[in-house]
Amino acid sequence: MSQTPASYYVPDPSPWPIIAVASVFSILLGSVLSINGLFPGMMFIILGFALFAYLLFGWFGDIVRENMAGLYSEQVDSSFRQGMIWFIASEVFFFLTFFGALWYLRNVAADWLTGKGYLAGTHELLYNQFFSEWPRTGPGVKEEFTPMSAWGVPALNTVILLSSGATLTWAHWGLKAENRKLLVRGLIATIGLGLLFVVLQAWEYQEAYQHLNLTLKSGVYGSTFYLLTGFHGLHVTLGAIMLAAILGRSLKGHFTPQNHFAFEAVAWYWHFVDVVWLGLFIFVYMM
Amino acid sequence: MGFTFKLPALVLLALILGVLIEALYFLSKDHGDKDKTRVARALSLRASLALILFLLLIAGAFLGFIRPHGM
Repeated sequence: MSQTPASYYVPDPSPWPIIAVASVFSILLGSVLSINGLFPGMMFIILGFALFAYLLFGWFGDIVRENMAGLYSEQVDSSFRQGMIWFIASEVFFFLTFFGALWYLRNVAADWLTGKGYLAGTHELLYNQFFSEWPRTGPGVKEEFTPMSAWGVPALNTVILLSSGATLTWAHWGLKAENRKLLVRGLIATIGLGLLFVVLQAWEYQEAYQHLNLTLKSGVYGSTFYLLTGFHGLHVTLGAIMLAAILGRSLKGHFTPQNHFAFEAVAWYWHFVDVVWLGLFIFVYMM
Repeated sequence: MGFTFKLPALVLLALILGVLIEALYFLSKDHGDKDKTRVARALSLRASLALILFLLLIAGAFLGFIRPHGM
């Protein structure tokens, strides 16, 4: 890396934010069309994800090139760290909202609907035959379902994610000790475990739909189950993609024990996703 | 989930969150020549605490203190 510049680096106008918006729009438009059974839906979804892949590749590449060209001052470095904290703050609130929704439904709204608490009148006004039972289908759902057991795939996935936290820590210490072999092996193991997690979750969903009759329509339990675990699975997928970018950079020898913010930011993100899963395992699967 | 297991499980979860936030603080502070191993150490502790929590949950279920729904 060359000498640290004194001035704050301002990049040229970048096309990436526009491409980001276009990819998200395409995915959403495709999803809306697909839900309504219209033909071009899947095409828009594929186009959106292709654009998203192009975006990640291009934007990550620009940042890496700027960094390796030594364009970033210490102040820019601080900006990246602040950006990371704001990003994480938005992620924390994102998941807090979903965990909060689950808690509110089970501990507050269910009481009112069953005729307890200061809004007990809701029971008479809305639906006087409602009774609370968790996991429950909800009063309007006639079909029976089996809730997802905590053991089996969810417990196995917990072991897998906990192991991935260990292999990533292994890679982290390898980086600190300038042991690139350890760093690369640790990262490969972590990415492999992350992908295995996603595959097993997809299989769990398939089992839930085909054999347990647990679907998005299985009342408030089904919708919160898929909302929380689905968004977490999306985060594992994105984390694995980011770890793959870090693996590529590690193979090229971009990181030193003193300069490796990208590695630590992604590693921290992975640990965060791991902790969110522990929360899901306790509050969605066990309680 | 019985209180006997709920309390230590929640305390462990709170500790894990605390250590994770601590690691984020170190991540924002330690860079360049000032870089230390504080982030790596905090994240190692995070991974170890998570393992202890999971073992506690398994033990709780095995001993019958925890009865997850769907069982």
